[in-house]
Amino acid sequence: MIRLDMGSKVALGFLVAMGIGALAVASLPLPDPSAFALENALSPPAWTLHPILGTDAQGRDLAARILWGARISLSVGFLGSLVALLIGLPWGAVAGYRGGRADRWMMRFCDALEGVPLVVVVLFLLAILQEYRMEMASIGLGRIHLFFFAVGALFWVPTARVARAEALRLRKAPFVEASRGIGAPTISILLRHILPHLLSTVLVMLTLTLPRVVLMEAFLSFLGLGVEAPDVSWGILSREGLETLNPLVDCWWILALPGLALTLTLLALQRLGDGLRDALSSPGR
Amino acid sequence: MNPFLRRFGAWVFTILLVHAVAFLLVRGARGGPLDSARELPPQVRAALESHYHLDAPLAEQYARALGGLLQGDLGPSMHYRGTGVSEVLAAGLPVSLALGAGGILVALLFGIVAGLGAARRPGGVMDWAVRSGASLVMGIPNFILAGLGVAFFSFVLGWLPSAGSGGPAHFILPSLALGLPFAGQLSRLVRTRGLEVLAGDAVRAAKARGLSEFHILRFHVLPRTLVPVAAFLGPAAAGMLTGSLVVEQVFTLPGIGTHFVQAALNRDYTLALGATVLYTALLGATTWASDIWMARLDPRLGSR
Repeated sequence: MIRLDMGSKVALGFLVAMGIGALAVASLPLPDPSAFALENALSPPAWTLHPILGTDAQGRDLAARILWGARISLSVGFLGSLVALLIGLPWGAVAGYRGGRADRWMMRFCDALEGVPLVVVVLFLLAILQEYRMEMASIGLGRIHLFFFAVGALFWVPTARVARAEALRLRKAPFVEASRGIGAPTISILLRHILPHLLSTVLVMLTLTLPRVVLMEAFLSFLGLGVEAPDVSWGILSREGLETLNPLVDCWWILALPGLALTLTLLALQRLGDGLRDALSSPGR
Repeated sequence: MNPFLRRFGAWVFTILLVHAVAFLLVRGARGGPLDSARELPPQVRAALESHYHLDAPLAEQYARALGGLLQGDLGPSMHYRGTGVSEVLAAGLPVSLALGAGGILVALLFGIVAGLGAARRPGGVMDWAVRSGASLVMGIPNFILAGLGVAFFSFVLGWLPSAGSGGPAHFILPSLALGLPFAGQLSRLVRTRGLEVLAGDAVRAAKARGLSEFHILRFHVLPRTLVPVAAFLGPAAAGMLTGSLVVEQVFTLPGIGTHFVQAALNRDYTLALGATVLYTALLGATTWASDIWMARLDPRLGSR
């Protein structure tokens, strides 16, 4: 059993609450997140009454929008991290286990990727792929699906490096040498002996990749190249908040509250990842 | 072979590779430079295509693009008619470089001062303040930080301009928004290294000679913390490159980032291609500069 420290437990509790809120938002007593109500535009948060967190420039309920945004932001974060894991883990495991020339070339490829401004390249790719949105729509792919792959492509290298280091260590382990000795094929050694031992690493890497992916989604949506309206995400809410902000009307909540949701989630994920890493690497395990 | 020469070769190779891949994608993509809302008569279209050599074989087009790249000419922009991509980027580059320099300055200044201040009395009030401040600025996404900065300093206090580019004052908030998250990371590095140095013999000897605390921090501790600082600058510059996309957008600074995002939204692929190549070149150059600085601080690192 994993023993978490107090801070990680608080972080986990916050994330679970946010997750439940995001999953159950449809059955919560909140207004429709895209229902315009111009007569209620920019009402300040009432905290205990309706609207709890105030409304935006179109009178849409901010609490509902933040929770609906959590659905998209968190699912992009989760699936994007999964894609990064699915690329990085086999890459690193194979490089570390095979060693030698294969390892050198595979890792050199990772080094080369670090010389490329990947975010810019991915933005460029996303823009070009816009030309094919009709074809993609016909096979059921939207921009949001492209996103998972784009983000996975951005963040798999660190996972691959960690997986490689672990695989290098396991390569010389007695049970791996034993199965090599009885002539087990490489693929089955990788699947049955290397990958299961990478599980705790995987858990930590997943938690540490998540905040980066969530932030990247917010970043791209903020630039107008990510999730599109009528979908809501924290990046879109921040963008709208910033656009609404002006010196004449006091409407701090419209930027500060989505920003707070995003920041707290990022901090909680980071804290949980650090806590998990400490818990899994402690000698008492 | 000289490691710096090898790095230079890798830099050139990366630029050429990114350019080639981006070129193929742009040429492969539907929606060429002549697809505007207005339908062109076939003769006009053919004339324009032959003018821009779009009817030539792909290899010849690539050879032309490569020749242009070597001469610093990235071809015409698809969106801004009659303007070359290089001109647009050349207009944006000084703004972006000023922002980047401001960001690095903020990161170094705040990061080093706060880190040393925290290392002076571990567990003290200053240490606590620096560490919480660092977690805070590292946790808040920079576009939120920028927005809150605008709300407070421009709208509530009215001290600083909220957007546009005019004079140095226009760069204060953007530089802070760009640099503070990195200052947070840097303060942690400097604090850790500073604690080690402060516990060492050199500092004990300096104290025994009765030197002032400021003198010790400035001349005995600071130089010894610079290697991790230099090592941090390479990745930090890469991060700032990404961050500047958003910060330029928030403050409507007409830098490369703004042009690039606009190009991506306007389907101006030649401009996007040029910006991508320029970003690749900038990233390589900053990483290189950080390596050179590191090798000068610690010659053992140069021979790798």
